[in-house]
Amino acid sequence: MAGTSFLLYQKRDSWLERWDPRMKIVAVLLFGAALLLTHSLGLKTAQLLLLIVLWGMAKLSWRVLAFTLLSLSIFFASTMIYQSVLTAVPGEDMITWGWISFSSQGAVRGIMMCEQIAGIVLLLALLVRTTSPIVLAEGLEMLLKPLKKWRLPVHEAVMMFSIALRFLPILIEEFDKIRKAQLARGGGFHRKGVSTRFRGVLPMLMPLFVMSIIRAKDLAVAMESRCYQGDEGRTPIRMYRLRANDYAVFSFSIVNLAAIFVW
Amino acid sequence: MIDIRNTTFYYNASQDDEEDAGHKPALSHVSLNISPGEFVAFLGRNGSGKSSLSRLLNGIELPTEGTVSVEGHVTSDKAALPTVRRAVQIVFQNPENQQVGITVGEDIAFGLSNIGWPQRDIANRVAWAINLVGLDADEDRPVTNLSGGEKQKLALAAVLALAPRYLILDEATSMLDPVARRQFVATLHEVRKQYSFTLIYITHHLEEVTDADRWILFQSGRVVTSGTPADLMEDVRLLQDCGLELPYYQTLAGLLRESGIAVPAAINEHELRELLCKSS
Ligand SMILES: Nc1ncnc2c1ncn2[C@@H]1O[C@H](COP(=O)(O)OP(=O)(O)O)[C@@H](O)[C@H]1O
Ligand SMILES: [Mg+2]
Repeated sequence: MAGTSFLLYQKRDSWLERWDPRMKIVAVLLFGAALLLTHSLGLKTAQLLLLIVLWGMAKLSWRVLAFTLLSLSIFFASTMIYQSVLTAVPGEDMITWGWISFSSQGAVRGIMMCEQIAGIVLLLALLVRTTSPIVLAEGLEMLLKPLKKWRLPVHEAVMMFSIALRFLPILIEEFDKIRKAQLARGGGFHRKGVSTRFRGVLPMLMPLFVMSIIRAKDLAVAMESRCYQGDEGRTPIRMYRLRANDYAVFSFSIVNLAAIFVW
Repeated sequence: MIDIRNTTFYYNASQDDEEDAGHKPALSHVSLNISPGEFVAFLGRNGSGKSSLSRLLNGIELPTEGTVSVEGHVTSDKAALPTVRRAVQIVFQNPENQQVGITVGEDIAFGLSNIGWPQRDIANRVAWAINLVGLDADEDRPVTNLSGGEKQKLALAAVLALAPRYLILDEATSMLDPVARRQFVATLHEVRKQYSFTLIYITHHLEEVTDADRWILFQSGRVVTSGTPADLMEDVRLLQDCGLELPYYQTLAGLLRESGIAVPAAINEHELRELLCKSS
């Protein structure tokens, strides 16, 4: 199931996996900012294409990419309609096709909006699918270290986040199992009608919820038993060193961000 | 040595003794010694307190009354807790709920990282642990695509990497199929030849612990008795009261004994076969 593996890291020995996690997070933020801030259709399109190239370089599956974009198609459609038909500003060039009439500037706005949505989703997917959760968490924690001075529970928050990522695939699998079990008993959410469907979801969410709590309790005990005591006295599991490669990625991100002021 | 002295334990203990009077303790007045190098089995029905005691041994829970000490360190002493934890490690029942890492290597490294293992030696230690349990997986293998048996071997490796002196297996084989279970037990004994530790084995399957030094029987939070397997096996009634079933060959040996055939008490399946083959 393509959906199950969407957020799952798998070792593929790609170039992107070797980036330092800190630099990867910074690059994602800078790239995301550039993507959101630029007003140029050309630049946004180029950035999106670059993300797709990176997807290929990360050796990620094209099927998953297609699935991801397809699952966003409702957003795309509604954005396009909203921007080009519903909120057309008087005075914009209106194009009429049969009974539809839409604004061409609105259509460009819509396309840029869609590119933004797709870009952010791909960016995040690239980040989590090319970085192991523990490495990601350690990178995030190193970046957020200054916040510890104000006694913010940086380590705890980051640990929670990485464990959530670790358990997501198991939860999805469990949801699938429960769904099938409910289907076999004649319940479930293939039924017609919104309210029947909705009521069909509840009996699935309850066992999932209960199981997650049991799991969380078990895991907390197992972690504590393996000497986990917050960030006190921990050594990172890997040595993190910035290499030339990471500086190159950083420079590129800065240039990319600067480009929005030029175009 | 582990020294458990007159220990009573309530989950959610209240400050007020009167309130405790209402609900049942998970353990009451347990006293027990476990010597270094020993192989002991905790046996008894579900809910008889075996897991609770194992959690007391590494300080995950603290006794409501009495003391638990590990090599002279009392578990309720906060300063000694890290030492106690490291000395007493537990492999739990559910293979899925005890792995923190996404890959085999990361999961083993998690514990090492917690105890501040020198960073540059973590990779070596991970490789050592994988090799020790004979896990057929490199460190980059995702945990999610290991089988149940492999996951438990990983749990064993992750725990042994910390060099514990006491290892508790809390029904570690109960979710495995019979083949995986036998393999796991074989691995465990193989490991114990190379690297010695005190083994505390919690199970419902007596055939896994016939070669233990001592069986400890639990019933409703109390230790009913303890003794060598050979001695306790003779008391079928007591075993039944504790919800335990002898392996079938043992039951057969008992029946033969009842019909007047001289079958020694401490007999294993191979000896019984010899005996039967000879007599026919
Ligand atoms: N986390 C918990 N909270 C409250 N009560 C518990 C908890 N775990 C176990 N118990 C209770 O403690 C008693 C002993 O349980 P346990 O030690 O798990 O037994 P065993 O491992 O022998 O099956 C049981 O009555 C059980 O219901
Ligand atoms: Mg138990």
